[in-house]
Amino acid sequence: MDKQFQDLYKLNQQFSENPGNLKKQRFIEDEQIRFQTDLPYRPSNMTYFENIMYNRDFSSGAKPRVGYFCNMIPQELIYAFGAQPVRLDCGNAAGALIGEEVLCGDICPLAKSSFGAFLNKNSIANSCDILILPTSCDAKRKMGEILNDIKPVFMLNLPPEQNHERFARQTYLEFLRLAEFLRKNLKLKLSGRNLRKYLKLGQQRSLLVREIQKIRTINPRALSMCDFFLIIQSSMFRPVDLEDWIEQTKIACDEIKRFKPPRKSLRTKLVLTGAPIIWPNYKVLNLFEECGADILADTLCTGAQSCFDPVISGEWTNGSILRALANRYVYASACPCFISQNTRINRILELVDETGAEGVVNYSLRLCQLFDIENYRIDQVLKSKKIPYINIRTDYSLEDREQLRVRIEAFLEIF
Amino acid sequence: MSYISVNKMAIRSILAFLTVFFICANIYAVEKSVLLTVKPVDDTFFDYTEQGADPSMKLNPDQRIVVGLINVPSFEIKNTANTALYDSEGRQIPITIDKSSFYSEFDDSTINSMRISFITDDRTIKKGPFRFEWGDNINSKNTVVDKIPVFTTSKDIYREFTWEEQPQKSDLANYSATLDIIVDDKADTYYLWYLLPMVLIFFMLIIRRLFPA
Amino acid sequence: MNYLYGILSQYLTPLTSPFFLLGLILSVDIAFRKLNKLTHKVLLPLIFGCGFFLFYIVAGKNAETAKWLGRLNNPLFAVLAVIVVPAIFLPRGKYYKFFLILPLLAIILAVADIISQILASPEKGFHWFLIRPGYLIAAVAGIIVIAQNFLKLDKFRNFTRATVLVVLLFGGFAFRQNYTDYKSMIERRQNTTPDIMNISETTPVMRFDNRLVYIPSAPCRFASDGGYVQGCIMELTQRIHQINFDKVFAGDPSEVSLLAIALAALLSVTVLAYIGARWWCGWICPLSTIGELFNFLRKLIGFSYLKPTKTARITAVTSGVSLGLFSINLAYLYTKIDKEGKFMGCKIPIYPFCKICPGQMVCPVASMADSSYFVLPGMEWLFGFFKVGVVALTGFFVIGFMTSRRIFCRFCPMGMFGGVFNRGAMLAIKKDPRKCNGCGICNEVCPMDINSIQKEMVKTDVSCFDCVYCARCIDNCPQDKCLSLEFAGKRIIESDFTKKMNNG
Repeated sequence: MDKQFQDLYKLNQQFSENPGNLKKQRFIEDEQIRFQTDLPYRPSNMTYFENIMYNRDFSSGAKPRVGYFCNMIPQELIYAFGAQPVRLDCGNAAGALIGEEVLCGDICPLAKSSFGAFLNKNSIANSCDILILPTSCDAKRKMGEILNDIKPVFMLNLPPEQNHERFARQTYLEFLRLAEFLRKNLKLKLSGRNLRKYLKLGQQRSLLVREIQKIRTINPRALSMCDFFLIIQSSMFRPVDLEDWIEQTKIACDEIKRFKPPRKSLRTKLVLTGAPIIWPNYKVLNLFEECGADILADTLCTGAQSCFDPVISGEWTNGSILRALANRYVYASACPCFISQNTRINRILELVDETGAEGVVNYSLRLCQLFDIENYRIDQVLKSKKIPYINIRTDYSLEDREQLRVRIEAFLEIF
Repeated sequence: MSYISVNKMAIRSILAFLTVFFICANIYAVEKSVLLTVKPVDDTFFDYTEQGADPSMKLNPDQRIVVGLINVPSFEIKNTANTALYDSEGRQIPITIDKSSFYSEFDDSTINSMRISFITDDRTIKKGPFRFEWGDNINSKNTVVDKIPVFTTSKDIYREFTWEEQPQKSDLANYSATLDIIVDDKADTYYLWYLLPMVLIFFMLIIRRLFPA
Repeated sequence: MNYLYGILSQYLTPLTSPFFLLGLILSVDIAFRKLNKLTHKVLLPLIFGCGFFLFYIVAGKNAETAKWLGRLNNPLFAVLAVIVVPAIFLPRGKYYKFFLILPLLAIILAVADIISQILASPEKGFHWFLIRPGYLIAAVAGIIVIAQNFLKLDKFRNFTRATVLVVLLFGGFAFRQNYTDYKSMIERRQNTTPDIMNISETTPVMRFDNRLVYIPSAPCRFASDGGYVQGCIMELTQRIHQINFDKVFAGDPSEVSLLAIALAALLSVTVLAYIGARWWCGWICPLSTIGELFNFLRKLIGFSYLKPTKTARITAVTSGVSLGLFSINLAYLYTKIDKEGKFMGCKIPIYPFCKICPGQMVCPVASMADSSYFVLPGMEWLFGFFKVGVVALTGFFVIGFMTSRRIFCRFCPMGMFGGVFNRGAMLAIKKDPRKCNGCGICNEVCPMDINSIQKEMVKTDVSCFDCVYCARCIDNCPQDKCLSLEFAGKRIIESDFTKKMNNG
């Protein structure tokens, strides 16, 4: 297997000793924790998910840890090798400030923040053994080489077009190469039985997410969107035992099913689409919660959509499972990094119909060209279908909270 | 009366009508006939002959033996006694039936084609065509032999016949009136009508393909 | 039992006409698509049924029309119309149980028939099951309809295929009409053990009991005692080409009746094809069921399948078409052979297509014919083109199913006949393009490797020429209600991942 990066100009890893910034990061997290704890109705076993998410001790566990970015890396494959996958996209505004010191300031806050995590010696990013990045957006593409100086990096080459005829074979070979990389660097073997087991667990997770989304469509107050995001993200962004997570989620789901609202909900129903919203950056979700709207469904790669598609394999040979993983993770993705927006627009319209939502929230991060350019078509399509929508284009920073609140309240006035 | 019970009554009355119809339909039996025109034999007639003269035949010099194949498409009998032959004046003529020529289309006990022979004379032949009838209610004594022999030594006493179907009688008109269109006038090529539904099915297929509902 | 059969055949005769089945399904189609009220939906097929009965009785008075109609009749159509069509269209409420009495009755009658035949036969000891074909077809349909309530789609499909395989392959020597039938078959045979029949032994059988329904795929006479169950459409096509049309126009009765039988059979097949399109490829064809065994072997070994490239697919289709046409032309040339049996110096067998068809090798082995354990069993025409052809095609059959799932079905000419009816006939695969997320799982699980379902994002009807309606794509689609199978306007199966997983 050839190396993707040459060690010609390898740099040393630097750490940023900025205790003030670390305190600020903690402060942001604590604020979000406080907000969520004060939500009116939460399932009783929410503390389980909170403990996973709020845990600040990232020392390595028994299993080797594999850090990955984006929603296009197959978690089941990493689990099958006996390793623990952890998603390293970071949502901390203060982290972006550290990242800016090293990388340029005019790039996506997600990239800055995620890189910033590596400058902190005790972050979860540094506790990983190897890293996997897909070539989804420019920022991730270039970060790969930079991060390679810190930990061994594998770049998964995504097809620019979600076209099976042209690229299915290449994607399959990429996944094969990924498996080979994992084997070599982790010094572990791929267990077919574990692969099948985790495939089934992934399907169960997908089912649970679908069920909770269905319950929330009928009964939005049963679970707040912030909590829903917390539950989903606790299974991806922190090291977690998937079987335990599924069990706890089942208990929570049963509890939510039995919830009876005290009165009929008059809150506006909305569908959320757009850029990733990662804990603790729940600024937009908090605002909608406070302003009196319920977000019923989303197409975010960090929200319900990330776990919505199950991996289905016709046969149980390793080759066909790899193909099935490629199908679900790469070709079913609604990410704007592919040349066609159709999957995402179809999903938005389908969700609006299914949930009976009254409007769409189009959230994008500043300095992300992909989402910015996609906004044009989404605006036109939603306008032609006469669906009210609001474009929110913001940063990670918390300073523009009040301005956003004004805009959101004005938007909700029309319902 | 409510709407639903009206429909139920409609269904019940249709079913009652059908049962009555079923019962009545089987009672009605019909009788059919063809006209036989006698003509002299042609060369292929003697292809299956036996040699010698038949010692048991005692014929007058003007008597003729007419032999021919009844393969009218609508011919169908269960019993050889269900056939009768009349000359142009209405007199019944006894017929001999060839058992080896029995042909059954569906391999059940009905006969769809058989070879017959009868003895007549030139005068009767000149008077007009013969009428060959068959039906469930006909009962006549016909001789059945294993094979009708044709002897080459007395070639000129043999004659053949051809048949043509008589037009339907008027009392059948109310049942066959709507069906005459379907039946071809060349009676033995009626099976070509199988092509009509086939064409219709392909036509439906093409229409549904071009205009998906 | 005989009395009962007599009564049933007399009164249910209009039901056995293919036109009844066709008209019933068309009226159900119109009722479900155009009419809204439930009472209207039920009335239209009922009115059609009564009207057809009337028409049949009236038409039956004219002898020629009666013969013309009667030639097409076959208990298969009655069974389809009375047992299978209601099973699909009746709503599955609590009253559906009452409908299930009908297939149960069919099974009971079939068993009673077998028992009564055993008791009535003068010969003691085991001489196979004696059963009338009408009861047999009704009982098999009844078993399948009842089993559908208990099995999930994959298992139900495999169950149907296995049942049909048993009946079609072993129906030859296992099932006989009655004792006289059995005895006459024994007399006709040169050897009395179950074996491949010679052509001279089959021809009288074909006319027996008006067995005119051809299913466009095997079984063929190469199953043990398979002359009894002759059914392949390629054989029918060859027979049509071998009819001497000069004799027909001269009025020769046996040739005329051969043509009539052949045309009637062709019409029956067309009616069946219009109703079911290529559905029998996925659910009935015994060749494919046997091929699936090789596929199962491959899965057991753990070898991943090869996806056929575009070149491979086009090669399969064109070579299938050309081989089929070529051998049918050979069948026509058979009528021109000289006294030595040669045409332009080459010997031609009576049914040339059968000589290169893999069914010739596969059916005897699968039905355990006695002579099947020798190399290239019982075949008298192994020379030149035919030897190469049969070895190559059987090799393609085995290797194709073992490595590449159903690539053989792209090549099969019998399947192509059904494929013509795939778009525009009663069966269709529908897709809601907005729900599709482009994952391509439908293509992954499809044994025919069709990717038009995954690519089509505008139209709702995604049926295509190659689809065998195995419904694996619908079963595996993760987006609820994205794909569905529609028959005569009614959705039979829908993709519902959530429900499927919740039911375990």
